[in-house]
Amino acid sequence: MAEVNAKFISQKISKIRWRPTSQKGLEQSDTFVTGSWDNGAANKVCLWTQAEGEKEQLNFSVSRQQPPESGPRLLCEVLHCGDVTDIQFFNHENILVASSTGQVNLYKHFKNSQTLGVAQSWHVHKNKQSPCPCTSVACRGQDVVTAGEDGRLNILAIGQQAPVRSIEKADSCSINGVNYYKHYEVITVNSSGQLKVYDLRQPEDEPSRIFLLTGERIPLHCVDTHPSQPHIVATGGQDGVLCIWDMRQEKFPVTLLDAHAADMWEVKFHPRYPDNLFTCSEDGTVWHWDVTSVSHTRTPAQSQGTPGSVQSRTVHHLPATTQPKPSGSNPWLTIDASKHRIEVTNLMHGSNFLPINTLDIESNTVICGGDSEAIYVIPNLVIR
Amino acid sequence: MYKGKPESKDCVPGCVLSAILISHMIRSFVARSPERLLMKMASERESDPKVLLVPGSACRHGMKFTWGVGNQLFVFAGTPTSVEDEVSGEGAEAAYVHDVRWNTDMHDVYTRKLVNESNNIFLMLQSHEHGVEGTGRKPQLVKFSRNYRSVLKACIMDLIAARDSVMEEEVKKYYHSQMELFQMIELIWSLCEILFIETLPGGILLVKLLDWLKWHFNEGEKKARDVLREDTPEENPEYWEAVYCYVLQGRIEEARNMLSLHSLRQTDAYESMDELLRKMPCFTYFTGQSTAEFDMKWRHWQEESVRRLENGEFRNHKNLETICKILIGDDQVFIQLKDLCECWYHMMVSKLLYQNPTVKAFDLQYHTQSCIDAYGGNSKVDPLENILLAAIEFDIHQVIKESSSYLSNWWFVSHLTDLLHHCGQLEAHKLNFGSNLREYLLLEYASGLMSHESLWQVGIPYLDHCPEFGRQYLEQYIEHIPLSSERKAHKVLRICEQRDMHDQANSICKVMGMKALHNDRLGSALSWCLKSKDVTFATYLAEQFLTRYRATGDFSNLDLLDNLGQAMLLSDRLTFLGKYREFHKLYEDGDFEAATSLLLSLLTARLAPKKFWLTLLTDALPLLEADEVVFTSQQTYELMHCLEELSLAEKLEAEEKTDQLVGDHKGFSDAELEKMSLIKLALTRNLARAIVHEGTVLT
Repeated sequence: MAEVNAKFISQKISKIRWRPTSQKGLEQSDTFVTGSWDNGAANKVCLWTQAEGEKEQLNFSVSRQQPPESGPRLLCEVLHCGDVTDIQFFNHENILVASSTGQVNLYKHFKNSQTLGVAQSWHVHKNKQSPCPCTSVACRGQDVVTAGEDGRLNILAIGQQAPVRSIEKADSCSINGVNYYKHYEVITVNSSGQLKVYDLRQPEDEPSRIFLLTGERIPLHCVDTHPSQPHIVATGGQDGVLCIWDMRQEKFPVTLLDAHAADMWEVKFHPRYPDNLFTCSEDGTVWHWDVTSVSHTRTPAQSQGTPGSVQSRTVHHLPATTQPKPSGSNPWLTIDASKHRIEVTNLMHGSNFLPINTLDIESNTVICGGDSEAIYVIPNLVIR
Repeated sequence: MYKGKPESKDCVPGCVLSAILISHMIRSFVARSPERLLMKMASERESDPKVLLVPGSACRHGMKFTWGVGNQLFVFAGTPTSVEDEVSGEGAEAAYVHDVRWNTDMHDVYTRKLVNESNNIFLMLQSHEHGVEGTGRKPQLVKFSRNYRSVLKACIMDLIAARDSVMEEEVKKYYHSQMELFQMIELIWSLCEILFIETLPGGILLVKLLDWLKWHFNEGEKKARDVLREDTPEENPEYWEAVYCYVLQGRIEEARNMLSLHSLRQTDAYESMDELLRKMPCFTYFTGQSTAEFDMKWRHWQEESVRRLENGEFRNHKNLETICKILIGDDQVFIQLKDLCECWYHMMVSKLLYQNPTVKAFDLQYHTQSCIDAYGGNSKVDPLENILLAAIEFDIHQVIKESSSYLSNWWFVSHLTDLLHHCGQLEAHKLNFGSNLREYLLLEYASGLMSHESLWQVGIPYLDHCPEFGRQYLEQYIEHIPLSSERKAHKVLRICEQRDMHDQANSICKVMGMKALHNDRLGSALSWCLKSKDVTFATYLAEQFLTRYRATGDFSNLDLLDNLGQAMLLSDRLTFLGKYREFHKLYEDGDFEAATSLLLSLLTARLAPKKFWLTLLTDALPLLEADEVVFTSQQTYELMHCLEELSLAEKLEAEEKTDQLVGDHKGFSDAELEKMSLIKLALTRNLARAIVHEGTVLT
C-alpha cells in the first residue's frame, strides 16, 4: 500500500503541477506549484518545495525548539484574482495560470527574493454579461493556447499582448480542456462530450476532426495525450469513465473503461513510463492504471480469461478480427481485448472523503490536491 | 465572541453604525436609536462591542438591514420618521446598500485546517458505527477521541508559531486568544475522554488524571528547566517549587532527579526521602495486582512516611518536611501550596493522589467542594471551571450546554456530542425544538460552514448525518451557493444527484442555462437545458435558434445541432429544429429525394410552426425547379394544400381583426406575397411535370 502524506494548507486546491527541472531529466523535481479556488478574493498561487532548506537545518542544530516541519514547505505565494483554473509551466521559472475571470497570467519566480510576480497578463475570454472563466491552458515550445467557457480558442505569444490568433466560435459549448496533440494541432474536449482536433496551420476556424461518444452528451472534463505516441489520447468526463481514443481510427475510435463513481477531473500519462496512467475524481480517489502486463503478451486470443477488477465496455469498436494489431501496437490500444490484465490501484485508501481536483506525476511521486484543502504526496510508487 | 474585522464595501464618508457582533451565535438584531444597530447575542459572555462606521449620511434617519448568506448583512438607510426630516431634503442623496460581513472563529487560516481534518475523523467515525460491536469498540472510539485531540493540538501549535512570528500587536493578541481558547477546549475534551469515553475497569482513573495534569500544567516543568540551567540549582528560589510541583503531579522520577542535584543529597534526611519516594507504590492495570492488594501496600507505605515524619527525620530540612507532608496527604500543606496548584482541579487530583488513590470516577464529585473552597468558594469559579465541574458530576448535558454558551464556536460541542453519542453516553434526549441534541448541534455547526464561501463542501457531510432535518437544510443551502463557473456547477450538481435532489439539480441546470442565454451562448444554454430535460426552456431555445436562422439564413452551433440525436425528442420545437437542420444537410449532400420527403413530413406532420411554413415552402422552391422531378404529383398536392391553408388562415385572421376594429393589422408583406405567388407558380409547373413524368413512367 502506498503511503500518503497530507499537508493541510487552508485553501481548496484546483491545480497542482510539478516544476520541470532545470537540467532535463537528470534529477527529480522537488518543487511544485498549487492554485486555489472558491476562496473569495483570497485565491493564491503557491510555490512549494520538498527539499529541506539549508537555513532551517542550521536553525535546527542551534535551537531544538521547533523541529523542521515534514512535508512540503512554502517557498512563496501570490494572490490571484478569481479561481485558479489551470496551471502550466512555460519553462523553469515562468508559470502560466488561468483564472475564472477569463484572465491568463504569466508569473515569474524570482529566485533571489523568493517571490512570484506577474510578468504578463492577458484578458482573453469574455462574455457579454458575467465574467467568462478560462478553463484550460496548454503550451508547447513557445506556443501557448487557451480555452474558455465562451467556446473560444486563443493562441498567445509571450511578450505579445494581442493574441496571435483567436478562433472565436471554436465550440458552441464550453471547452473544458485543451492540449497539444501534434506540433500544430490542438485537441479540445467540451461539455457536450465532443473531442475536436484543430489544425492551427489551416486558415479556417473549423475543427479538422470531431469525435464524439454516441448517446448521452456526457461532458468531458480533461484530456491528455500519450507522451510518445500522440495518436493515443485519454479523456475523462462527468460519468467518471476513462476513454482511450485511437485518433488514427476514423470510425469508433474509443475504448471505455468504467472507473470512478463521479466526475473525473484530471487524467495524466506518466511522462516517462506512459504505460502508467493516473486519474483523480470528485469521489475522492486517485487511481493508478498500469498496463505493463498487457504489453508483455499481445495475443488477443487469450482474452477469454476471467474479468479483472476493471470492467470495460466498448462502444461500437471494430470486431477483434478486423482490428489491426501489429506486433508493436501500444498496450493502451489493445486493452479492450485484455482488459483483465490492467492493474488498477486506488492510491487514496479511504483517508479522504472530499473531491480530488488535480494530480501530477513525476518520477515515482504523485502529488494531488482537492477540496479537503490538503496536498497529498504519494512517494515511492512502483512504476514499471 | 466576535473575532474578525467587519468590512464595508462602499467607501463614502458619513454616518456611524455601531454594532456588537458576537460570532455566529447571534440570535437577534435589535435596531435601536436611529443611528445605531445593536446585535444581540445569546452568549452569556459579553465581549467588547465592535464599532463599524457605515458611510453615507443617508443613514442619519436610521438604518435597516436584511440578512445575506450566512455572516452577511445588507444595511441600508431607513426612511425618515418625521415630516421635518423630509423637508430638510437630505434624503435626496444616492441610496447605497452596504454589504457588511464578518468572520467567525473557525474560518481563519489556522482553524480551517482543524475544520478540514476533523471532518475526515468525523466521517470515519460515522462509517465505523456499522463495524465492530461490543467490547472491541471502545479502543476504537478512544482512538477517534485521540485523533480529534491531536488535530486540536496541531492547531494550537500552529497558533503558537503564528503568534510568535507576527509583528503586529493586534494580530498577535488575536492568535494568542485563539490559542488560549483551543487549549481550554483541549483541556475539557481530555477530561471528558477520561470520564466518558475511556472508562477504565473498576472506575479507577487517577493514573489518567495525572496524565491529564502533566499535559496541561507545565509550570513546574518550566521552573525545573530554568533551575537546571544554573550551576548550583538549589540556590535558585524556584528549585523547591519545581520539586513540589513534580511531587504534586505524581511525577516521582523527576522529583527524585531534582533532589539528587542537591548538595546535601548524601545526608540521611535526603537519602531517607529518596527512599520514600522510590518506594511509593504505583497503581497500574497491567501488573495484575488487585485494588485491595494495592490499598494494603499503599497504607503500609504511608504509615512508614508518617513514622519518619514523626520521628523528626526531616526536622532540620523544612522543605523535605513539606514534601513528606504532601506524601502523607496532609490537608494543610495543600492549602499552603495552593499557588503551585494554580487551580482547584489540580489541587483535587493532587490531593486524591495522596489521600485516596483508588478513587472511583463517580466519587470524584465529592472531593471538589473542599478544593473549590480553598480557592475562594463557588463565586470564584469561572465558566470554564464550571464546565469541568459539570463533567466531574457526570452531567453531560450540562457540559454541552455550558460549552455551547461559553465557547465561541460550535466545533467543540458538535464533535464531542457526536462522539459521546457513538459511545452510547447520550440518551436520546428529545429537544423541544427540532430533533435530538446531537442533530441540533451538528446542524448549527454545519450551518456555519455552509454559509462560508469556501467551506460549504465540508458542511455537507455533517448535514448528511443529520437524519431528521439534514436534508431540508441541505436543500435550502445548496440552492444558494453562487455558481461562478461551470466546474463549480458540476460539483454542486453532483452533490444533488448523489442525494436524489432532483428539484435542486434542475434548478442548477436552469440557472446555468439562463446565465448562458444572457451571455448569448445558445449552445451552452441548450446543453444545460437538455441535462435537466426542461421542455419549456428547450422550446424557447429552439425558437431562438430558428429566429436567428430566419434573420441570418445560417445556422449557428452546428457542432451541437448536428449531434443532438435522441435528445431532440425533448420538445416538438427542438425536434423540428433538429430535423430541419437535417434537411439542410441532406440538401447540401445532394440527396434530394430524402430531403424532399423530410421536408414534406415536417409540413404534413404539423411539426413545423405555422410561421415557419413559408420558409419551408421557400426552401422547396429550388427542389421544385430542379432539372429532375423530385416531388411526385401527390407530394405536390400536399404542398399546395399547405400553401392554401396558410393563406386561408391569414385571411381569416385578417377578417377577425377588422371585425374587432383593430387598427394597423399587418398581413403578409409584399415580399412575402410575391414569394407565395412564386411558390404557387412553381407548384403548378412541378405538378404539370410530375403528371407528365408519372404518366410516361407508367406507360
